[in-house]
Amino acid sequence: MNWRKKADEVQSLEDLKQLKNSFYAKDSEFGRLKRQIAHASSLEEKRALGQQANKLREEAEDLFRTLAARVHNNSLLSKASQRWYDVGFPINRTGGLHPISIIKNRFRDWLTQNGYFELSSSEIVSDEYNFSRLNMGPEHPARNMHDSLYFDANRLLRTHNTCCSALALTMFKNKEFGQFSIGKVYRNDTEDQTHSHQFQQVDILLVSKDASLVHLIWTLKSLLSYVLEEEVQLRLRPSFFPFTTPSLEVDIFLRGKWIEILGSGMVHPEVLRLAGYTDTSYKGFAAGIGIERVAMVKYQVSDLRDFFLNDFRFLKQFSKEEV
Amino acid sequence: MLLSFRELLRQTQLNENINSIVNAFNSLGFEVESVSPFVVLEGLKFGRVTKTYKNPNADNLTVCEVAFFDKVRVIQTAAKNVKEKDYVVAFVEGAKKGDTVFGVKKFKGIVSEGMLASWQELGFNSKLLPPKFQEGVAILEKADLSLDPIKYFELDDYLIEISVLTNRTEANSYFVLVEELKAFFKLHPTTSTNFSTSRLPIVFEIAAQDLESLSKKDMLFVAKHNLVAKNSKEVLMGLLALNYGAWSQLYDPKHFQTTESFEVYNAQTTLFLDGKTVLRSGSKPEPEFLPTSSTQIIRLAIFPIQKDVFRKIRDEEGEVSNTGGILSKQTGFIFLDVVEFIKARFNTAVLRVITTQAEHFNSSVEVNTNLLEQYTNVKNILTTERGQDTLGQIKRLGFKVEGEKVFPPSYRSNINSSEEFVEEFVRFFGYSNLEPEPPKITNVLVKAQSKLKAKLSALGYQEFLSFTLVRPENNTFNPLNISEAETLITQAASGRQEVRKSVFNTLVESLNHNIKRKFTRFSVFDIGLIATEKQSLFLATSLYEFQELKQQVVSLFPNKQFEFITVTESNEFLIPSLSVWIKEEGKVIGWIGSIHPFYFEHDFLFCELLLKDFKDDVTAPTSSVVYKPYSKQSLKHRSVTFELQQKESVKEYVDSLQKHAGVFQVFLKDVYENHGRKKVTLDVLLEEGFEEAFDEKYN
Repeated sequence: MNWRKKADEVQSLEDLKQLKNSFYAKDSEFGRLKRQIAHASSLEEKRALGQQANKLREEAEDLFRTLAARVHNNSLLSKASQRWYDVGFPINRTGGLHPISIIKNRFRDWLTQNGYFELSSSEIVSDEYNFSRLNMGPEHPARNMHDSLYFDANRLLRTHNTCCSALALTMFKNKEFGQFSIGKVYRNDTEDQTHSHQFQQVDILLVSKDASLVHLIWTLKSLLSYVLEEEVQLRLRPSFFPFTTPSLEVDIFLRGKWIEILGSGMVHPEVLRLAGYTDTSYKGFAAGIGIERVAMVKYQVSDLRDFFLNDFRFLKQFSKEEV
Repeated sequence: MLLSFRELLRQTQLNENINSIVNAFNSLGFEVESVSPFVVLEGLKFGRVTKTYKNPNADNLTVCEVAFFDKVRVIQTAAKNVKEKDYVVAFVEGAKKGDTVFGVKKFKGIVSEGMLASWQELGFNSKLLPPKFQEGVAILEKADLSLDPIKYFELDDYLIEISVLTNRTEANSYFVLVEELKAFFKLHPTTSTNFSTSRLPIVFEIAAQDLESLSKKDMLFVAKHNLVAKNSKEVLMGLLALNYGAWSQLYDPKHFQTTESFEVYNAQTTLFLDGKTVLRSGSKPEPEFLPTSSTQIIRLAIFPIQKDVFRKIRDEEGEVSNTGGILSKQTGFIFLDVVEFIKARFNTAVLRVITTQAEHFNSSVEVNTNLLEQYTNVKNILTTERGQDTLGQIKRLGFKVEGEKVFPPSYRSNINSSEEFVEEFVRFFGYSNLEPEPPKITNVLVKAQSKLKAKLSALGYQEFLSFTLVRPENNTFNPLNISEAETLITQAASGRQEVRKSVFNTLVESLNHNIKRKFTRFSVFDIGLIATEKQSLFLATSLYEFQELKQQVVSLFPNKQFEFITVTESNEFLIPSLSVWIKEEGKVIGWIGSIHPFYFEHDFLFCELLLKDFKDDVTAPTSSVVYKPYSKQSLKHRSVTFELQQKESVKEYVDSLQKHAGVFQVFLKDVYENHGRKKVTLDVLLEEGFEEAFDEKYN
């Protein structure tokens, strides 16, 4: 058979080898040409036959290369087609953040992108930073051993993250700055639908010479709108905290009703003084927000205890939230 | 504090609806906790019984012909106490009680055009009613038929429950709240108190044991109307302690020292003690109530006092002032709020009752206009129309403004500084009238956010949230050998008295919760405080193998040089052959492995790792990476095979190989086990140029 026709049947390297052998065989077209060259009568005839033979060989080698590539590709395809894996096997989405962390991260995102830095401190704090430096005198009810969780007369589980604000004020005294703290706080409560002895708070603090109530209101509105992912309407009510004056309770209007969401105010001058601020032109605003409270409002969770039960059927509901 | 809406309207002489009053309280800083109607009634009428006779078809029904203002109706009743000429209250056709609408119905052959009302049906609790009022229908000696009984008896009242801020204890009284409302609505201050007088023909009775069962609504009556306290002191103390009754609050006498001053103002209502009249509106206390006992604590009788008839009382020697002997430190207990006390701003050596007429505290605060303008961002705020309005409202509260000085009313001990005056000003100016504006912020520190939780989540770990505190009997798992538990001296209401020695001691509650519900295949993490006062990362997984878990721990902390030491000693918490200690700089900072079945019997692997403390938390992140030139030549493979005992770890060999010059990475290639021994082949990747030295040592 003509070697060109045989080329169509080449499927493997062995077939290719046989095709090459048949091309270069003595009785092949190429073999005959070589014999004719050897017996050529003139130089011109030899040259002409030589050119013919070279052309034929080049044509054949081109074809052999093409066939070799085809055989290699076929081999790869064959190998690949023999492999199999059940790529349709379903995946269980197992990882995820606790909804409290998801809310905390939203607070972090807004605060860090707006120039506040995060300060962490131990959850076991001194009476001084938890109370005294926040203008909470010895007679303050929260200092009662029954209401706060004390290890001894001077050490207790922090009752709020405002103690971190007191720490920040001391560290950066007579400076302008924005700071926040997020973490667990503790009160001597029993567990029920809306209370726990352990919960989490974000406390924010801004100190500057021109800090004002209008800055505080803008900050809370922008921050809460970001965290709750909708434009919130605020209602501010006069309140009382020893470390702020004026003090404000802030409600948001959500799903047709006002919901109490946080406490805030202008930093009490005594708190700045206790931290070491000697320049009385510095002012500040502060706010403390319960993370569980925000999570309950945002996700419409009705029982605080669900956050601590850690039932996967509860936690998986939040797996689509951005972590 | 519990308030009667109708009483507020009467005293303020306002004509506002309940929503308007609620809004005013919220704006003023007295958060309204709840509002509840006393009773939902409509269409009641006073009537006069003109004729009665028995229904011939029914033994227990009396047919009454009752004259109303509009017409005479026939109403049948089963009550036995109705007689001709009595005045009654009736639900006539179209009247409503809750969802029930009354109509005309035929009973035993005779049409009845309504129903005579009993006191209970008018909303009064039987427990408060004297026996003769508990049976039958409500009978009155006299009534004006043209009046609406609902309005007349104020049955359309609302109970308003508000929170009073801790710096405004003086606001636990109608006196102050009425003035606050009047200032809010820009009315002039009260010149004389319009005390309410009950129109009910009943003196209510209550026993101490019934207190707990009474609703707030019932207590509204107690507050508004005449009360006989059957068990005298106990009942009153109970009422006051429960904060029931708008005028009631009990102060623990031990909070009062004779070196402190108090103000007394406002008292109203009529109260009886031990069957005797203790006080009656507008009168002096009855002499019988003068203190007689000789106990050590102070007793102050409840007495009527109008705000413009204040009395000054001295008790230094049990002596009382010229206006009535009612105070002694030798007597039993203090009832306040009928007579309201606040701790005044000055300490004196006498316990005294001071009138606003008699004494003004000559204390002032500065009006800091700059501060006011800065906080509100309103230029010349005091000269604006709203600013002027606000000043007017504050003056209505009794503040005196003289130039740049403000003299708060004597009872406002919470106003001591310019900032506190700003607070008072803005309270009336209205926070909603301030225009929000973004602050300028000085960035003093840029810190990296921890990505640990996100990494763990990406690895398939679900975050759990567990309690830091644990009951002592559950604080037993202690692999890190924390010697002493952090124990609260406070008696924890939750019963959790100690800081956990391992996150496991509280996280196990959630692990078991899910396992009991058949959910057993998961990986979880939690980060929280343990008794070392450090944060601890805790991992629990039934999905990953030991080597995977170990690999994850290393990957999570790329800048740490962890050392893993097999737990070989007998350990009561961890299974030695399945666990390692994690060391850093020679110190144990955690562990990976299997917990002894005594503590947890399910097939899980765990890791606990102490995280950093917070001492260096105000530093910005730093990097120690400096670029070094590296070879771009192909790496060289070498296989190294060791023969080991069945339970012998390959760790030593790998450690040794990794320390050899030029070794880039070591992989486990193959393990062949045979007759209690195993051949382990490691695949070593070498940098070019180190082959000869390596081969000389290992091949």
